[in-house]
Amino acid sequence: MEDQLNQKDGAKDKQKMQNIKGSKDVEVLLSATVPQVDEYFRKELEERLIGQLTARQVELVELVRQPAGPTKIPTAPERIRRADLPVPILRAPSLAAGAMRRNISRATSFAIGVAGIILLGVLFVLMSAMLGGRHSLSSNPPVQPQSGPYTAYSTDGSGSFHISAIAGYNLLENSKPGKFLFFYAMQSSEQGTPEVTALLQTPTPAPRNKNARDTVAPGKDRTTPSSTAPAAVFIMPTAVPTDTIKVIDIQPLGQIGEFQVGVIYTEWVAPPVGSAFVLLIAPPGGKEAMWRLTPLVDVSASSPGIVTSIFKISPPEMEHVSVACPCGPQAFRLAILGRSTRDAPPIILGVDPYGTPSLLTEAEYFRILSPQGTPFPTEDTEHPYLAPTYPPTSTADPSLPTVNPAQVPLPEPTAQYDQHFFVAMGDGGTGIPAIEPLGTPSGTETNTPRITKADVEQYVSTHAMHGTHVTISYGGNEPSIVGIELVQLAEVYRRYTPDMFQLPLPWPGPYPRETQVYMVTLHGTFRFSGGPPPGELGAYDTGVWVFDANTGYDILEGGVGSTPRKSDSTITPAISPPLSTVQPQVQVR
Amino acid sequence: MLSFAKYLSPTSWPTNTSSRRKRSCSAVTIAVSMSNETTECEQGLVARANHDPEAFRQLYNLYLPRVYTYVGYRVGVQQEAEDLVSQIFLKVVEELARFQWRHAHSFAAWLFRIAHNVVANFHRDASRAGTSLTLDALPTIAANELLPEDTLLRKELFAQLHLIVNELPTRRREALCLRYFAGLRNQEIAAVLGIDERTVASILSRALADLRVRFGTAETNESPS
Repeated sequence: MEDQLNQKDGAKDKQKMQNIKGSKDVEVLLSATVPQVDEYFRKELEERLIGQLTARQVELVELVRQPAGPTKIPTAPERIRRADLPVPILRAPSLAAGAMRRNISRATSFAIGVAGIILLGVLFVLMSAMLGGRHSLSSNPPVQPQSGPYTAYSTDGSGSFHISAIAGYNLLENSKPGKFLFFYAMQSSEQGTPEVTALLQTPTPAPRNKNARDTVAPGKDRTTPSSTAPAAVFIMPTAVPTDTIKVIDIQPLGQIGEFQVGVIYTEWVAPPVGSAFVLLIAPPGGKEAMWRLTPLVDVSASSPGIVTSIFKISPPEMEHVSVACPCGPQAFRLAILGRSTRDAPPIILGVDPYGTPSLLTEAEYFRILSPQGTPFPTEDTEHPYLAPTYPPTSTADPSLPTVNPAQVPLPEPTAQYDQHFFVAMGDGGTGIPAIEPLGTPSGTETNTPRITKADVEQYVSTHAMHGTHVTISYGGNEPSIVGIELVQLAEVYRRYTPDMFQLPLPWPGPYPRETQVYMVTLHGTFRFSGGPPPGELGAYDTGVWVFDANTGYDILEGGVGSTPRKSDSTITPAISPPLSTVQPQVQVR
Repeated sequence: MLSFAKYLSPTSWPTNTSSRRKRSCSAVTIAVSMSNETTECEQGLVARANHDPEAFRQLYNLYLPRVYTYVGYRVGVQQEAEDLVSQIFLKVVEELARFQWRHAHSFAAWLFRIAHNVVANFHRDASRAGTSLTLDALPTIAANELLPEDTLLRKELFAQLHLIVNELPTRRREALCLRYFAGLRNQEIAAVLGIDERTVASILSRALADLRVRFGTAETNESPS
């Protein structure tokens, strides 16, 4: 029987071959004469390639670790105890949650933080701006921010955090499909990997009139500002499942204290023009959890022959958010981190040129990257919308006087504000011209005041803070001047952002710490938009405005204090006393 | 023309991917019918391949037959084809981290750009010019194992076609090989060769017409003898 079948098959094949042989159709003939891979060769090459790939990974890890000597980089399953991490560098310079931590017991905090669901919305359109000048993508046209009010963040009634509209950016027409990594730190009673679902939101411009309002597509959010809204306002519709972005992998990195840390690998297929993405993250266990977001800050540059990024996660209570974009070995940037409000050391991640992250210990961190001389994040690693220049950062202006940091001892941090947000003015934090100095000719004593308190008062009374990369608006009545002080710049930081003194890093900005400045304290409602969330309303009750006393430059604008919980109309307008009678004072919480 | 396709033995495909066999037996059809879902799956593999050996293994097995077919037809000798394929995939391992998706099928275009360059370098070496093909040196051609003569016939046919294909003008030969052996779409061929997509269609059309003429001439020359 089998022989008969074989003969039958053989006859058929013979006929086929005759057809092929007799065919003049070259396409058919080409398809009939395809070389076949030798199985032995296939296996041998496969093993060789896999070996090559593995060896390459090991080699890269070694290169990353090269300055670190024999110290072992903790791998994913390895548990890193808090004691393994350095206190000076890893201590979270907590401001926002300081009081919270004192008030909420660890047990309560843990109970609150056990498992849950959080929405993280992310817009993926800041590539060129974030990568500018550091790698090949810098040849792309720069991203131009659109004008108009935008809210970078929002929270819903359940406290879910949602980055909704960083649509202030004219999205990249030239953005390429690529990958994003999101780091997470999760506190959960259940061990395991979170489940992540990607959703898509495409903002639509707010309609201008009733007719336009009727054209809003079904399913879009009609509850947000309507016909009277400015054209620049976008409506963020309900997030829907999408194939545009895919969650391709979730890699647990290990454990830090009670936090499970890992990375979510995502990639998008098509350029996400004008869209925002939401990652729905369900921690294992499926219970409610409290999460905070905090950025990864790129504190490294490159080492010889190889580009390596090292991320030190900033204080968990800063509530900043950043986006990671590993668009190749040289383009890895910021990342999102969600974590609980629990007091825990920041996390240091080393990322090899292939984008593979691993946890680093203190010793490895210091060996790979000496903190001395390491520039703190500059604007090309911190996008102002996502992680504002705080404190003033970026490239030092060589024209400005340089000082020996040892000349002025660092003051001890004092004030603890539950909220603060400062914007360094001008590109690179070099300030912008504001008050024209009179009298003393310039160019002699750069640290000698050439403007007066009256000049400052006059200017502040007739101008408003406007921010750089963020929009600052005054809510309610005009703010009142509480005080104008002539102090050193370091004093401003000591009062309002003492966390920077806890970092073993050099003075970050172009202005030396002993720069004589006029610090104006204002009372009112100061709304910030376009930046990270200063609170649920994005507003502060105290404004701080800093001018260089020598040049009259506006160098720093910010808000401190608590977030007003009442609407503007219910805020009692502050009465501005005569300036001469005002004693410099700052509300300290 | 299409009627012949159904008579072809499934074993004419050198791949071990059963899905391809299920779809069609025609090289032409199969080569260009990479579905969207395959591409999406492929994107995931490419994304992970850099740090996940298993993903790389899948990617390798997905592309090896196509690369081998392309190289095999371009060089005609099994040993050299295997050397070149090894070189190509080693370059892929080295460069994979730098690869970026540009469009849905850009990985294939990127991979075959490497293959194209490796083969071009190979042919640029003057010492290899004029290498004659012997049946033993030819790569194995997929054929039905029940008929020993099938293998021989296909090898002879391969040798004949290989010579004709390699006599084609460079641009036509490249486009033809990338289309029918590498299984690339016109868009991908355009990316590999650095030409316009519409030009690719035109070149392919002319290449096939040229091939038919040359093959017809060869058949005619063989017949009297």
